[in-house]
Amino acid sequence: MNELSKTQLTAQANIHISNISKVFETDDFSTTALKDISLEIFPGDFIAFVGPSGSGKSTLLNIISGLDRPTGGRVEINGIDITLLRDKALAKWRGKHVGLVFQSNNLIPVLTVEQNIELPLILNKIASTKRKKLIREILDKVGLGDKNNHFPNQLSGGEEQRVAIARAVVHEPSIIILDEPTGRLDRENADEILELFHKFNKDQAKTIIMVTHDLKATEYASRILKLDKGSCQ
Amino acid sequence: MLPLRYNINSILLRRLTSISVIFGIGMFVFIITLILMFRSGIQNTMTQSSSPEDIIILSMGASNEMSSFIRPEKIDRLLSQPQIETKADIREFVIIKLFKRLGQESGGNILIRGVPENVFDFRPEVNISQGRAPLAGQKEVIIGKRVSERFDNMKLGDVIEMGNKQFVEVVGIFEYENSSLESEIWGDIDVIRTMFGREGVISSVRLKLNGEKTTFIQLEDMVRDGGLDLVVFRESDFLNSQATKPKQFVAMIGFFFAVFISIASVIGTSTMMNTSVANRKQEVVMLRNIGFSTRSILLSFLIEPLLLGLIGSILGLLLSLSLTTFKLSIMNVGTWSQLVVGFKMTPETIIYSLIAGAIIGLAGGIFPALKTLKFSHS
Amino acid sequence: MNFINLVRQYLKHGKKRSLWTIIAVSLAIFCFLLLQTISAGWEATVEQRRDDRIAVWNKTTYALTLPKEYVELSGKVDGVKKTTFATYFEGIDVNSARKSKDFDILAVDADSYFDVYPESIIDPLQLSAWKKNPRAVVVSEKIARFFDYQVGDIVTIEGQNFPGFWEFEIVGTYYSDVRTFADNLFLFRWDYLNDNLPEGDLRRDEVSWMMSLVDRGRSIEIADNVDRYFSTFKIQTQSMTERSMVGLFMANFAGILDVINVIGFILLLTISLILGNSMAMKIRERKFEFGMLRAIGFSKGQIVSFILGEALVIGLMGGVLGAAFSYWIINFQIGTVIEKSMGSLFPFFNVPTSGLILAILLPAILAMMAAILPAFKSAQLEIVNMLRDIE
Repeated sequence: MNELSKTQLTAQANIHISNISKVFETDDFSTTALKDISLEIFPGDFIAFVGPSGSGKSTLLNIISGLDRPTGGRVEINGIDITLLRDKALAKWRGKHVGLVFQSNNLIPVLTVEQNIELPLILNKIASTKRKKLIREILDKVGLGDKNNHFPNQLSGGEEQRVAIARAVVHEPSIIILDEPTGRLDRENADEILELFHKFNKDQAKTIIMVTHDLKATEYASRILKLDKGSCQ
Repeated sequence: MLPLRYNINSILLRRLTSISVIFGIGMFVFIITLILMFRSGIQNTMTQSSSPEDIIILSMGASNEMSSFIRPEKIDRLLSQPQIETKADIREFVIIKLFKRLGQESGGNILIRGVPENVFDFRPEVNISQGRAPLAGQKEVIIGKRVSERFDNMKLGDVIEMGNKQFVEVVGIFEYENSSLESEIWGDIDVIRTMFGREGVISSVRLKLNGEKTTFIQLEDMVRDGGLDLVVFRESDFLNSQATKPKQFVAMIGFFFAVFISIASVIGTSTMMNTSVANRKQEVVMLRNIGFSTRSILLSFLIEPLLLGLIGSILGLLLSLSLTTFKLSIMNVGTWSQLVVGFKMTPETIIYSLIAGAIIGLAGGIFPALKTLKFSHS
Repeated sequence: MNFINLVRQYLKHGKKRSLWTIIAVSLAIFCFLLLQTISAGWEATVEQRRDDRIAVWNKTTYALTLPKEYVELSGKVDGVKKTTFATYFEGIDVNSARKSKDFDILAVDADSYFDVYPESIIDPLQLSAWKKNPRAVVVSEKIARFFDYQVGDIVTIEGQNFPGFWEFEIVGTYYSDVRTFADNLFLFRWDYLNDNLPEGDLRRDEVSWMMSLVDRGRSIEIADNVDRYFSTFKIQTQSMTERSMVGLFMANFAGILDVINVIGFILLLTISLILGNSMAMKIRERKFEFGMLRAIGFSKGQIVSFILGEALVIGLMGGVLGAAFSYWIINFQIGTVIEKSMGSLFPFFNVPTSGLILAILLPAILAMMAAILPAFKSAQLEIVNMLRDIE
C-alpha cells in the first residue's frame, strides 16, 4: 500500500452499533422509534436504509450522524462511543468526521456557493489559501466550477444538491450521511447525483449511509437494510 | 369581508409579534400621554377660574408680580378717580426665598405673598384645610398644600425662619383649586414686608371691576393717560401669559418627541408586521382561492394592526394613569419660584392618545398589508 | 475563526429589515440625546463655573439687595482680591425684531467687572469707551450675532423691574470661552441705573449681588469669612463659591430632570424592544439554517455568538447613525434656535460628549441583552427539531 491509500484508510470508519433504542416521550404517551438495533458498518460500505414512513430509518440516521442521541445503546465509531460525547465535543466530532446531505434546503441562503462550501473548512481550521484551493477542486469535481459566486436561490435543484455534496465531502470526512438526497429531484438529476456518490464511494472508499425511498438509489448501495416499526430486518 | 374573529385568533396565535407591537405602541403612547398630561398639569396649575371683571395691576413694564414695584400713592390716586367703581380690591406684596426640599439636600425658591386682611373675602375659593387663617399683625403664615407636602419644615405648627432671626409660625394649610397659589406661603402683608425690609411696597393690586359702571377699556385708558407708570391686565390674560413659557418649552420638546418617536414606532410596527404577513403568504393565497376578494383581505390585514394599536394605546394610557398621583416641582421662569405641577389626565388626552396609537398601528400596518396584493395564486 | 464574514453576510442579506431597525433605533437615540442635551445644558453651567470666585447676596433671599458700600467693605476680608457687583435688570428691547430676545441684562461696574471675570475678553479700546460713557453697553459676541447688535447702535430697553425706557449705546462686544451665562449677557453701567432711579426707590445705592475673586483653594473658608464679617450688620450676607451658587440655582430644575430621566429610561426600553423583537424574528426565521449549521458541526456557543455578533453590529450602527444625526440636528439646527430664543435658560445647547458615547454604546449593549434570551432559547432546541420544520 502506498502512502496515500494509508491516509485514506485512516479516514474511514468502522461503525459498531449495539442495542440502540429510541423512545420519544411526550406528556401523554411515549412512542418507540427504534427497538434494540445492532449493526456493523465497515469502511467503504454504501448502506441504504429503506422502509415505510415512521419505520425509524431517519431516526437511526440521525443517531449515527450524532444529530440525535439514543435512549439506550452505544454507537462506536473508530473506537469512540459518540453517545458519550458532550454537546460541544459532539459538534466538533461532526464537523470533522461527518458530511451531511439532506433532501433540500441544505445551503445557507445568504452565503454564496463558495462560502457555503467553506464552512466545514473553517470549522476544521484550514488555512485560507488552502481553503480556496480545496473549494476550487471540489467544485470542478461536482461540475460547478463556474458557479462559485452564485447564491443558492440562483441555482437549480440539482445544482443545489451538488453544492451540498461538495460541502459534505470537501473536508474529507470519514462518513457521508444522506437523508433522501434525491427526494426532490427529477430522474435525470437524481441519477447524476447518485453517480457522484458512487464515484466518491468507489474512488475514495468513503463510507456512505443513506436513507431513501428511491428504488433506483438503492441499486448503488452495497448493502440494503430494511427497517420496519423500529426494528432492522 | 372576513369575520373579526379571524383577526382576533390571528393576534392570539402570533403572540410574539402581537405582544411586541402592543408594547412598542404602548411605550410610544405612554411618552406622548406623559407629555400631554404634563402640559395639562401646567395649564391647570397656572390658570385658575377668573371672571372677565377680575383685573390685575402691576408696575409699568412688569410682566409678573416678582418684578413689579408699585408705590401705594399711585394706586390711591387711581382708585380715587370717580369714574372707577370696583366691587373689591386687594393689595399684595410678593417675594421669593430659598427653602430646603423635603428629604433632599437641595432647595427651591418659594413665593411668599403678603396678603391683606380681606384676602379671604376677595378669594372665596381659598380653603383652609388645616388650622386657621393668620391673624393681622401676627407673625403667622399659612402654607399652600403643595408646598407643604414637598418642602421641609412646612407642616402645621412648624416655625420657619424668614430672615435675620425673624420667625413665623405655620398656623394653617390651604388649598386653592389646585392652582399655582398652592405653591405659595401667605402671611399678613405688613408683617411680611417688614421682615424683608420692604415697608410700604406693593407688588400687585387685584380688582373686581363693577362692570356696569367701569369697563376694562376705560380703566386701561385711564391708567395710560394718568401718567401713573402702571399697567393693567385682565387676570385671565395675565395668567395665560404666565403659563406661556413653560407650555412652549414642553410643547417644543413634545413636538420633537412626537415626531421622532412616532416615526420610530411606525418603522418598528412595520417591520414586526412585515414578518407576520410574509409568513402568511400561503394563508392569503388560500383565502383568495376560496373566494375572498383582494380588498377584503387587505382590509382584514389592516384591522389587525389597528386593533393592536388600540390595545397598545390602552396599555400606554393605563401606564400613564399611574402618574396622576405624581407631582413635580418645576421652575416658574417668570417669577424664579417653584411651582408644584401634577400630571393631569383629561378627556382630550385620552382621545388624542387613542388616536395616536391607532394611527401608528395603521401606518405601521399599511405597507405590510399592501404586500398581500402581490401574493399571487400559485 | 471567520465568523465575522458570516455575520456580515447575514446583515447584507437581511439588509432591508436591518436597515429599518437601525433607523428606528437611531430615531429613539435622537430623542434620548435631546434629553441628555437638556440636562447637560444645565449641568455644564455648573461645571464650568469657577471655584475661585465667590458670590455674595442678601442672606434673607436673593430677591433682596445689598447696600453698595458692602462692595468696598468686602475688600477688608482676608483673602478677597477684588470685588465687583451687579444689579439684575429685566427688560425688553423695544425694537420689535428683537422682542423675542432671551438674554440677561445686568447693571454692572465698568471699572471692576472684567477684572473679576478674566475669562471674558474685551478689546481694551472698547473697554475704555465703556468706562467713559455712562450710557455705554457691552454685549457678548453671541448676542451681537444673534440679535444683530453693532457697535454704535442706540438701543432702547423697556424696563420691567425698573420701569421706564432706558436708552443705551453699544460700544463693544466681549468674548468668553466659558460657555455659560457669562457668555450671554447685556452689560450696562450700574451708576447709570442708580443715577436715574426715581426718588424714594428702595433699590437706590443697592446691588443685587457681589462677586469676589479669592485665593483658589481657600474659597470656602473665605466665603465663611465674608459672612462672619457682615454678621453684625443689619443686613447679613450669604456667600458661597460660584459653582455652589449655580448648583443651588440649578436645583430648581430638579423636577424637570426627573421627568427627563423617566422618559430616557422608557426610551431605552423601547430601543431594547425594537432590537429584541427584530433579533427574535431573525432567529425564528433562521431556525432551519441554524439547525443546518449545527448539523455540519457548529457548536451551540458558536451559533449564540453569531446572533450576538449580529445584534452588536445592528445596535452599534443604530447608535452611530443616531449619534451622528443628533449631533448634526441638535448642534447645528435646534441648538442655534434654542440658544437664541431661550439663551438665559440654555446658554449652551450642544450634545454632550458623554451622551454621544452612551448613544453609541447603549444600543449595542441593549441589542446584545435583548438577543441573549432568544439566542439561548434557540440554542436549547434539538437539532432534529430545528431541521424538521421547514416554512
